[in-house]
Amino acid sequence: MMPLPPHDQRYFDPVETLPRPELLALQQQRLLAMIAYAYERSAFIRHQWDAAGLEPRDITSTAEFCARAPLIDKDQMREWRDRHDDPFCGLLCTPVSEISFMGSSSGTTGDPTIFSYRWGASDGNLPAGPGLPADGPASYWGGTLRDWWEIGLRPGEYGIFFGLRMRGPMFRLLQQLGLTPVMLGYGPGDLERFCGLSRELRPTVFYAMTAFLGAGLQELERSKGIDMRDVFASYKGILFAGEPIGPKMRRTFERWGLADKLFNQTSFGDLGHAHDCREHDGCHAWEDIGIAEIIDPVSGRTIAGDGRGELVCTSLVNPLDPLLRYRGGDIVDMKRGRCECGRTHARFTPVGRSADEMLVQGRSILPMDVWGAIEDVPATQHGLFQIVRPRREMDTLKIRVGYAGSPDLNAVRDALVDSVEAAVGLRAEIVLVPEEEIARSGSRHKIPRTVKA
Amino acid sequence: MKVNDPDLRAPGELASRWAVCLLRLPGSTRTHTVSLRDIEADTAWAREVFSRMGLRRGEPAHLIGAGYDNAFLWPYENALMALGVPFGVAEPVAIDAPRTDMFLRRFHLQAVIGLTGELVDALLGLQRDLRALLGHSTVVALPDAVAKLRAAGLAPWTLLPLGPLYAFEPPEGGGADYDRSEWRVESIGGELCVSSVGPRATPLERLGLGVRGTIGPEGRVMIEP
Repeated sequence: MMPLPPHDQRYFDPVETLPRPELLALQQQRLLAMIAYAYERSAFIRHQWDAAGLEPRDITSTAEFCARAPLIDKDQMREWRDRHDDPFCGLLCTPVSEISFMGSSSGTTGDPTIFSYRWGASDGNLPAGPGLPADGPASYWGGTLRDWWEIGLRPGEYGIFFGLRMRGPMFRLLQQLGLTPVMLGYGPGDLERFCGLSRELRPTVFYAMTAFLGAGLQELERSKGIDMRDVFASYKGILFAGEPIGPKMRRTFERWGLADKLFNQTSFGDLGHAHDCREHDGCHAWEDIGIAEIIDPVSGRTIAGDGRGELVCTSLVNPLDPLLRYRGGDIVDMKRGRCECGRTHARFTPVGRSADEMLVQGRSILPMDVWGAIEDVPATQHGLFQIVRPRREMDTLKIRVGYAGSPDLNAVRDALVDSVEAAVGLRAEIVLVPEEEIARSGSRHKIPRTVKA
Repeated sequence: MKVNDPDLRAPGELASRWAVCLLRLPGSTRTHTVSLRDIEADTAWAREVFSRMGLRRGEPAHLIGAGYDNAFLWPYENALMALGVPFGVAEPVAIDAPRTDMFLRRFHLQAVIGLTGELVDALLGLQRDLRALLGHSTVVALPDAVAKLRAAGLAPWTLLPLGPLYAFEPPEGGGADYDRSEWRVESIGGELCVSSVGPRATPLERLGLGVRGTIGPEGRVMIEP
């Protein structure tokens, strides 16, 4: 096992608290190397930069990079992929033979795009990290050991792993910290087994909680009288991934004694994942691993300092398929000041996706705006819903909502219309369907919150 | 049938409890622990299987399996990495079929391992030509997919999940082989049962698998259709 910090030490890596001038100097040094590396090896990046009349030697600082380098997005990558019959979208900087394995995006808006990973040692049994530069982070399976260490996970503990494989073997992060993963699935019997294993093994982390699993736990509490406070008594962290926790679900977890133990894992602009720390004041964008900018989603202009904007990310340590100024459509609130935890890296809080935003009678609506209103109606308290968004601008807000049990549907519909109106000031058209129908439309860890029809 | 369940609360290093998972049998599940030694032994077997299949370094493959089965699947991922075979991953269920479909369409895959009947049905639902997508690949499929693939003119290997182990039958038939240095599979009253031979973290003795089958003269496993 790799050397770990003293167990009472909060930070995993000294870079987490590096004074900001030193952090930005390190970032710039890696950026300038990455620009040259990616321009030379990535046909897609070279094409985009050539089209912008730019070469790596034109960029001498991070500020110049953010001001002059072209933005890239998934549509451009897909267009390149289809035009050149290149599954890697022109991003791959190495021969295919140097890839260990390929994960992929969810493919919500088209063919999934590929993320390539390389294992560090020839024997994957060794708890070595993936193939990263010697000066890179200790490990980076999408997330970092820093994030899991911050939760308080320590060797010898157990960690519940309800994980899928498409982003790679995330359970290896737990093993690299000396935890034993307890691997469970989304089948109907596994949640009850989870309750039993939690009492038996007393795990310290749950990865990854979703609305679907949260609803299942509430149902077990109701139908079988399982004491969830006891089930979760040993947990230091419950990680929500794929989508944030809704307000009512949060209250349920607070009732189970987990108020300060709910962590959010979100996308760091397809570079990987970002987690919030124990201060719960935004997800840390590790700025030695990537550059996190925000832009105006319409004009594309950079927004300096703090504020709301579309997240734009640049890889600094990815030797396989680095992204430079990639806009993934996530709208975030950015904070760059020092966190209460002492870390000096920027933080962001996701507030929605630009592709999910719609204008109804001129009013901006994101799924999070109606989430709590739907959870407030008892028959739809699990928050399984989808906004029907055939186009960005609509006259009517139409929401498909999943209900549990056999309620009076007319009464539920009326209650939802009133609740949504109280939240966003619009009388919505509500389509009620059994919860299972909504759950089936997603990949089990994430439900598409907007659908075209 | 006797099963020795280890005390999962006993203190120990990661080597002795690399992962805990559920062993899924028809109508029941049981807690199952694997050690690093188990993983290394299974990785050695997986390398041997892939060598028999003729997998080549540097050419991409597709490995389908469920995240909750990582304790059984990881040795196969590990073997592919050790052999230098880049592979794309997907889950074995219909909802993940677009991912498998993407890998099949966009790569000239040397092998597709773990195809399920559910995925084959989903690919057919997408109007895919199985022979065009898979004809150039070594195909390794679960029993519920094999007949459909053969009907499409393909000659798949069969991947037979037998509780905590996988057995493999070549396209020409003759029964499925498994790692006999770690396991013993018997047919008792027509039901396949598995015992551990190697020093597994979770020893098993004649664990009934709920699958009917026989053992051929060379010790290979034949399941009843």
